[in-house]
Amino acid sequence: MLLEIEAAPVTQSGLFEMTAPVPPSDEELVKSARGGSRTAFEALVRRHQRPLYYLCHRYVRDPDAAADLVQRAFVRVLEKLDDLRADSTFRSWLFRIGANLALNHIRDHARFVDEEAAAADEVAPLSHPDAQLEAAELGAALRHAVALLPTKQRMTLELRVYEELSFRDIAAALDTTEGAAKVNFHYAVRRLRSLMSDPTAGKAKTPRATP
Amino acid sequence: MSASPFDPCQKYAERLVDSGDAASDPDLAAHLGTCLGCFRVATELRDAPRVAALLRQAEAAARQREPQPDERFWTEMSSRVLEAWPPARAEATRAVLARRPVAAEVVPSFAARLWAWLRMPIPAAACGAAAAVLVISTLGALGDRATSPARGPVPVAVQSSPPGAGTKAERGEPELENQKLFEELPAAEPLGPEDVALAQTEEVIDALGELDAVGLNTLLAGLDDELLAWPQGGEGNGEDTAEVETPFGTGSDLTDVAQDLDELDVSGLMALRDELEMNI
Repeated sequence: MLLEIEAAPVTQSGLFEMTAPVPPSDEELVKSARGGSRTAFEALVRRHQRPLYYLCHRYVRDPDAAADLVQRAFVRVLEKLDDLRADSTFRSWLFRIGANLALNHIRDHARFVDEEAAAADEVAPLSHPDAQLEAAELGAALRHAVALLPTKQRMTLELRVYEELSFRDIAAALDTTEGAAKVNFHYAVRRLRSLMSDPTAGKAKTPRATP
Repeated sequence: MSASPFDPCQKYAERLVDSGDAASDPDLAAHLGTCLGCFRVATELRDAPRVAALLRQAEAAARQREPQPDERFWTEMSSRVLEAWPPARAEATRAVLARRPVAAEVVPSFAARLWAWLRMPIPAAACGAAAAVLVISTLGALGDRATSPARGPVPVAVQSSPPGAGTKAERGEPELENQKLFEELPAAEPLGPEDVALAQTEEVIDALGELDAVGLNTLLAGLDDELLAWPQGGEGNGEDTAEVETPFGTGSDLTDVAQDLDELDVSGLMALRDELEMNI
């Protein structure tokens, strides 16, 4: 403690410069939450609730359902907090729970998919692969193409692109190996390239992901 | 996955996925110059950064178009989760119980399990043998008691019972039972005349204390020499009479009273009764 005080920078007024406190890591918060700290768990929720919401929303396309899934995912975290492995990060584990809940929600509500919402997500036909499309149209087409990917490839791609997880964390989240996660990412990118070049390639499949 | 391009050159392909640029890796660039499969992978992954950027832009645009939860939703999320936690746990418990087979919930009682165990061949035979031994031993014990004579010497208390107490038939059934109990008592030291007189005097005191006026009249009317002479000693000669203190005086005083009462005629007894009634 003495060394920390001596190393602290001193301002011209003679007072120690106050540095912003370093926020605790997820591992520290998880450890405290396991010990019964409500504050630590609330900090975990505040830190990860928005990314988890958007992850669920990408699957279910419904704000209310996504909000419900977020709450259920955190309740599941409370239930299974002791099962979190040491080699898995809390973030990847949380995203895995959220993605599985979202996929189950899609499976359970497959008959009640809003047809209008599905029609609104239809990919605009590309007149030519080399045509200069606006970024918004191309982005919408890619989003729809992502929804057509197999589940493993889709989850790998989304965790990599949106959440910027490492392949190690993705492998932990999907309970697979790091090499398999890289293979899935490569396959997802290759499939997106083919779908972008031929929008009718995935028409026969349902626009919703199948678990 | 059997046709994966990673199979022959997995190490290089994984490095391509990680970096996406072979220019900064001379070893990887040299390998791409000699491996057509890895070169194709590098070509496919070349669009990965562009695809990721387009997806992020589309995601941001979609968030702007779609309604977003308000700030209150985010601030209350943790409290909602914690509030939902106990019901969720209870719901999970109910779900687990509902999934359990019905037969597993029926736990036989201890009596049922004991009865089932007793119905097995070996325990049933053992219980039957034990019951037979118990019955035989009980019958044997009863037979011994019926044929064996009274044990031990006759207690002195029976010998000191007042004369003229009557036969067993006259004393009645409860007294017979008491007699039997006395016979079963172990041998005791013989009681002296003083002990007998004291015990009998105490019994008389207790009986007189429980009597009412009518009872006393009846008692006085039936007094005779035999009853009034009981405090005398075992020899019966009057010389060893124990001087026992009673509410009516000592034992010798009672003897004198008995003689006086014996000499009274009917009118005297009536006068004595009236006097006693007045005193009571």
